[in-house]
Amino acid sequence: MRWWQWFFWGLAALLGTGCSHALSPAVRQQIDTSLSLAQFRAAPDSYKGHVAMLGGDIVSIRNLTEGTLLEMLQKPLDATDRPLDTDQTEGRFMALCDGHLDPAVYSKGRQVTLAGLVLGTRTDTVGEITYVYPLLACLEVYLWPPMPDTRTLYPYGYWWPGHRPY
Amino acid sequence: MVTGGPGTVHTSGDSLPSVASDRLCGSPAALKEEAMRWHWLIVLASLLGCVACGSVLSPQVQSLADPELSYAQLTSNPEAYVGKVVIIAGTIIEAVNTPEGTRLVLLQYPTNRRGHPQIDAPSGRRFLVLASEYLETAIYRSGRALMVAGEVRGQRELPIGKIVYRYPLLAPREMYLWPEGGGGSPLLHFGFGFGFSKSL
Repeated sequence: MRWWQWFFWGLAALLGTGCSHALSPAVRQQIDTSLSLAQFRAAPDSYKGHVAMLGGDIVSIRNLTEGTLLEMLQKPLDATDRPLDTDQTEGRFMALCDGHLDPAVYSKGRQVTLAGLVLGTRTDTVGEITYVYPLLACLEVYLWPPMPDTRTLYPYGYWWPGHRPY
Repeated sequence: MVTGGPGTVHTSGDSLPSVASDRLCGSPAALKEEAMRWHWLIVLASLLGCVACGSVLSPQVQSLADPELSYAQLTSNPEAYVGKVVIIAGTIIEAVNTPEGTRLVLLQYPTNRRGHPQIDAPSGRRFLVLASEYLETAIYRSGRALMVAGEVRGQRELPIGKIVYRYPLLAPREMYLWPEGGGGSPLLHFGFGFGFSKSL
């Protein structure tokens, strides 16, 4: 091989590892990629048995006798299936996972991408109203590492002309 | 700093002053190229500036608002101003979904030149915003900056700890939730940072 061929394959290998997905290939091939949370919410019973991939921020976590119940706020996913840091959302959903997930690790605000089997709905309260949550049974859960704070990485705000701290 | 900096090159156009050419020690062609580069940076910077300075609320709703009405007047006697439209900027301190809609408690702050609430300025006035629709309280959550153009609907008393607080009640006509990050977009800062590193 020529030197540039080595270079090309090396680059391809690097990019390949960079684009690895959150969920395992075995679970990913079961996912019904056409199923969105909005569709699921509109007709929860007609999608029973389908596998959906959803992601978002943890709103609350409860350790129950039947497992761990994650209350999630859905967010759109990027190309690597990571939830985007945006205010765009299709609403809340719940995921019931086997075993014990530590609430100190799966804490409020952390980002999660999960694949789950559609179970139906679960009703709970949000503030003073009742909310019907689409409910999934976790097949695989991926907890994303926290995002670095861009404001400390690029502290330009402190020295550009016209900036006044008060 | 070079005194014949971006301003001089930009305004003089094709005929560059001799002072500038002495300082930069370049050929006329190189100088012209330098001038063009600065020209684009200035155009880009002013475009970004315009985007950042635009108001977040529509001109229609802004024209409805009564500029004479002060927050002090409104909080002292909300019933007297029923039907008036006011613009309030502040941070959300409570967001609750209720059967009648989403109830937001807003702590009002004066705004900075971008219209973002200045949370280090003195405040103290609370307003109750009652949106008739369901708002996601995980998005409209405590700590977020919000701008509301709302119609005064009177007052409502709600407890804070052991006291009862009388809130002016607003029905929102238009709302704008500021993106998180303290009022400055990182992209805008990055643009300025890049431009100035060129001049040094």
